[in-house]
Amino acid sequence: MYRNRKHHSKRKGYALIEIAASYAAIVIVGLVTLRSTLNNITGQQWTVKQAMTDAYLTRETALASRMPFANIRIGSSPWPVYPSVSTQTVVVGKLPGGDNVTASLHRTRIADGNNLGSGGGSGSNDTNPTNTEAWKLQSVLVYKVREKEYVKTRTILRIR
Amino acid sequence: MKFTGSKAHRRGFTLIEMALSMAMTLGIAAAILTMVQQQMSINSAVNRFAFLREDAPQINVLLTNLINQADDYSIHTTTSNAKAGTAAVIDNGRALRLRFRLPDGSFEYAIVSFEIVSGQRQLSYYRKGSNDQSWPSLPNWVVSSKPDVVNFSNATGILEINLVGKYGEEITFAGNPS
Repeated sequence: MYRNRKHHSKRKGYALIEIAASYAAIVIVGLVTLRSTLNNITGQQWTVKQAMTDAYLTRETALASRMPFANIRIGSSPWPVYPSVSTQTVVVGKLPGGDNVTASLHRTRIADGNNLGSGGGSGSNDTNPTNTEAWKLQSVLVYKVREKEYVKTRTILRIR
Repeated sequence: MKFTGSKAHRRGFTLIEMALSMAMTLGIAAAILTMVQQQMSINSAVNRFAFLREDAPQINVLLTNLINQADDYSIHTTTSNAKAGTAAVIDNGRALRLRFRLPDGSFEYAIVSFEIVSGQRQLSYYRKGSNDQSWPSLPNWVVSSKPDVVNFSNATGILEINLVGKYGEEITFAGNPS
């Protein structure tokens, strides 16, 4: 009688362990699934922002290539002379639902060393007899994916 | 009626045991159901990004290659206007007409247009070779049927292609013909 009761109570104990194990298994599966999903979402955010920022920089490249040279070197140029930098917040795209994705755009232009003094360089008529003027137009896009900050840059060389 | 010793000690589950096991079963079922629902809603959220993640970059690569080969372009309100070369606009265009100069000096043309064909919104490609007398009535191929709206613009002095997905997501590419 005593042996049987003991055996029965052991069976009860096993049932409790089995239930606890099944709960633990569910929790582990849930956590693993959640983690992999979060990894996917993080990767997706990264991919989407890469696509958007790449697209935005195609605009910068196209603008820098197409803008008339005279407009590049005037005082109100979108690319001020280095070390001055123009900074603005730009919308690089929209997420599903219409939320804006923003980034910080920095622009500056750097004179070629052989430009004449009027062109921001230190060249002379001897080193630059044709008065060639060259500027590097640099656009830097700073954006965030979660807490990490990323930077992309495009540089266009304009010569006349 | 005789009971053997071992059978005599066998008994059914008590009400408490049954209630406990049912509660546990319900708890496990609820947990699994919640996990499945959560996974489904996350999958649905992930799928909403498919246009930005997969389709838009592919469209961009394709259009960039095409535009880079062109030597001229114009933007029109509709495909038929683009075919006729009329109603050119600088913004809110739905059709982009491209001109390609061939080595022998002749031209061939292409139109990339956002239009509705048989009730389906699509980005279509039409080609008119240098020896062709007219444009094909149907697109030569469909670039993509994923965008909800495509806007061609030249308002900033460069060609901008704004792609809008069906959930309001947007991405804009820019370029210049070579």
